Amino acid sequence: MSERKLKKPVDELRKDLLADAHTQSIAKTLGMTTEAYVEKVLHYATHPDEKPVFNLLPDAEVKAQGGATVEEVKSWLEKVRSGKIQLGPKAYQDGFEPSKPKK
Amino acid sequence: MSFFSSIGKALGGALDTVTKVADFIKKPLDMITQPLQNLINPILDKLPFGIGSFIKPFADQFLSSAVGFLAGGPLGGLMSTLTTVDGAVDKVDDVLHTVDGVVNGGISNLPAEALSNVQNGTAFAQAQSLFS
Repeated sequence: MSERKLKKPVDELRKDLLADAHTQSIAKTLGMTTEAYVEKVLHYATHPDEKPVFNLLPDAEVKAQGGATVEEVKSWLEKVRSGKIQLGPKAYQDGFEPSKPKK
Repeated sequence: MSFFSSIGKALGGALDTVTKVADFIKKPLDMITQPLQNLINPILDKLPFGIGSFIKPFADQFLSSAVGFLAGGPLGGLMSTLTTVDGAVDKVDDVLHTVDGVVNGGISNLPAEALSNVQNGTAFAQAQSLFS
């Protein structure tokens, strides 16, 4: 059993989360109401030993659909770590390409 | 209607050709993050421009279609990244917003099984900030 304790009582956390702009934004991105998303967050907060369980496809199915396997992701990460793939400051810093001067 | 023909319909026919009904494997968080965490941690530790400079190219590479959210590698990478921020809500929001801009149709239009993965993973990640 986990010994982790919450920073505040659940009702106070709920109030804080409902009023938080980032939490509202996350809920919207996930296609949920803020209320439903906050209850999901609080579920994990009040069940500290529970971790999410994910729905996954077998690797063969992933490949058939054009997705990447664990080994392919590991290979990409190795290339990033070794410098073969650069996570550059330009293209990915802010998502915008530098503007070109007008002629 | 099969699962994948549903995906194809939702995402503009990208997966229309597949008619097989998918059999899902259920895996807990640790099983999908463990193979990748020791590769991702040193990358995130050394990024000069923050977590966004990792998650954007990662999402471009692996999370642009629904299948990425049902695959242990791409989803494991996303979850490893989300859990690295210790629930910091602004960073969770940033990561999710970046991925949302990459996925075809946006996260909220993912098929139910894929969307459930992202909803639960994100809620779990944010909940970590509520512990003292």
